[in-house]
Amino acid sequence: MSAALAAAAVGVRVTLMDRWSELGGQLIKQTHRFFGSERERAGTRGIDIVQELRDEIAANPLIEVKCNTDVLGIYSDRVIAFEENGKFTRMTADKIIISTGAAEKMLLFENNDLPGVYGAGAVQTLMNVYGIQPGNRVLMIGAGNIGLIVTYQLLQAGVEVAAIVEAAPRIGGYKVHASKVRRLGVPIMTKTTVKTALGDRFVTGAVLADMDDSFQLVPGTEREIEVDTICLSVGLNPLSELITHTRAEMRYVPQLGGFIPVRDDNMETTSPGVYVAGDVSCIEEASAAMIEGSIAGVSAAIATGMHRPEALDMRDEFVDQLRILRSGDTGKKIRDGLKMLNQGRAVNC
Amino acid sequence: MKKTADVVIIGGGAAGTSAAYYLAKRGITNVAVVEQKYTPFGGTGRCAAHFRLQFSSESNCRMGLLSVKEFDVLGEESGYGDLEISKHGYLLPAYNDDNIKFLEKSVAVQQSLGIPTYMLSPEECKEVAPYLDVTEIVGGAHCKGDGVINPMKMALAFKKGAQDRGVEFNNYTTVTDIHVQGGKVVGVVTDKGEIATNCVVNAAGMNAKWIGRMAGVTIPVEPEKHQIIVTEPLEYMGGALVYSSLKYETYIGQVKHGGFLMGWSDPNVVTGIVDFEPEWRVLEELCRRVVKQLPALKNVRVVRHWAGQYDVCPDHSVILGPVPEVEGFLCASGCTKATMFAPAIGILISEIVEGVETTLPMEPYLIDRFPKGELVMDPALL
Repeated sequence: MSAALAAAAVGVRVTLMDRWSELGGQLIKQTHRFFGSERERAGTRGIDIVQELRDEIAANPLIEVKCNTDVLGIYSDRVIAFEENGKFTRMTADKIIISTGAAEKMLLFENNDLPGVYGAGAVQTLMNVYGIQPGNRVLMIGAGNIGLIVTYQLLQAGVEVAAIVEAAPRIGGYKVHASKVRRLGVPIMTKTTVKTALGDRFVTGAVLADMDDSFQLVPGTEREIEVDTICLSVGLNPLSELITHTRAEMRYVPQLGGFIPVRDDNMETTSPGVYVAGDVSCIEEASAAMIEGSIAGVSAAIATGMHRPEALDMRDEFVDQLRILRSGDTGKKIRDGLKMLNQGRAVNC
Repeated sequence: MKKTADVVIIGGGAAGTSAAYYLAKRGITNVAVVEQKYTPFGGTGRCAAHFRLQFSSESNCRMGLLSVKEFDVLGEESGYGDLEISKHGYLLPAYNDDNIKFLEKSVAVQQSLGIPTYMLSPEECKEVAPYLDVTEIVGGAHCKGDGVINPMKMALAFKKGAQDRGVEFNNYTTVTDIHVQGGKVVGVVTDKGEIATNCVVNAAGMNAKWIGRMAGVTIPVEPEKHQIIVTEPLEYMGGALVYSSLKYETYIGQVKHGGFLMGWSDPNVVTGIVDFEPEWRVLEELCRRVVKQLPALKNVRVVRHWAGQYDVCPDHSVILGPVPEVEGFLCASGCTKATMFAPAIGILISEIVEGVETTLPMEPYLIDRFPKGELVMDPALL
């Protein structure tokens, strides 16, 4: 949505496609307030940001929205094939921005296919979009920001969270989130993982075990915990299939979430005219995704030849904004990842 | 990588792995296979996986017969295991009386060689290919010996069998030159080093022409893109592959998981360049042609679409054996049929290398048929 708005602000026509029935992506389930500075809409809840962006898009005559639309392929002649409301269609575009997001990772453990084992995104969708309580007593796997925030949201919804377990020796998410759930009585066990989900037809408990420094289970440390829901928050994988259709160069960068497209400061990939933004380009926060979208949108619009004097300033401002967002301690992992991604290339972040 | 070898095989696809396998079975194991990527990256791994005995020329029929006999035992003999072979035949539909006459002529050739091909009525066509709409069909030719094999497993079975007998495989190794002295091959240069040898087998498939040039040999083989699509699975009916060479220029077969695999001979394809890009134009035209024949596929989703490379030559028949220009340079080009003829290619190459009498008469497969003008035209090919 940010990319569409930024491109339209420069004056080009935009078609925005999404497979879901409404725009919004992950924001529709993010009931928490955003962090950072006011420019990144800190203090605003994700669900409110969605509404603002939807309204802006609806009011913009340059943006055409196609929901319920699956993009099936991007061909070498830049033809985009898609299925809109069950019908196969195609169109071309001067520039293409891919912001398909990411999918949740699965964790390998015994019985992980029992009903009651959820991804954190599914738990958020059930609670925050549909108002359905996912369970009564939850074991949260993963102490990253998503694990911590979803734990807090579960507590807000009146659901008990038995524990948060984290395989790494330390908590991955922000300290402020961790302190908040700890104050509410949820233990965070580091160097611990789930070994087995218990239950015949649905989850009735879990076996936890300690992990050593090389992420191997420590035999003899197994203990049972009684829960009816196991919530996995163990990271995201970029949904990069459409990027690979364009033959853009991909590189494996663990800090950024896996296979990531190589791109320049304008968010343009090595496939000319193909831009990326959001989790598909690097697993990061929604604030970063929105700025990346704005950079990609403005850059793609400029590249079509629609050059307004203020457009370059807009772009530089967004690039600067992203640099500042990633400048702190918490941005170090991303900065290192981007350095790795751009090895042998000019880096400006 | 070896410094010297009795034979260097260029290409680790169907033809190259098969040549390695049958050479090794003859005890010729001081052999190095050089592959630019890995087995089966190229045409073999991207092919339509079907094999057949229904041809119009005797030489093609013989290649098919020899190969299918080997397919039946390869999985076990190589120690690799199941190759996912099933035989439901090819059905070549006829749309008018001329088609019937043409098919009857081919069937006569096939039957004279012992191939079990028979002419069918439209009703019988429906029985062997249940999804086919037979209203426009006046008959067809069907052979139960034709079928489908997993081409990747086939190539990997050849590779395993050869490796177990001591053949060396070098993946991610690119041939950059072939040394010729006094009209004889003396060595192969790669980006990983040089191998001294007096015998090179050119099994480079789509790249055969360029390998030939390195030795000063002209090989009339060009790369040509061919695209294939696969649908989501439907109920498996075990039907024949519908090979419409006489009207729609398509083939449509159902594979074991229930998906339909299909391809079309695009007349606008550009020959001479290697290109793996799938095209929406081909996807749409192929779907149009397929739905006319199998209306049940109308709303079935396509789940995969990819492009492979044929190695085409003027008469679309294999090019095997020695070349007049350079001693020790052997062709092993399947010319669009390397997978289905892989065993026969390997057997003949191994016999030539050892210098024994070949199982099949070589004349129709030799490269000198082109300057002599003795092309092996086979109208039953798409």
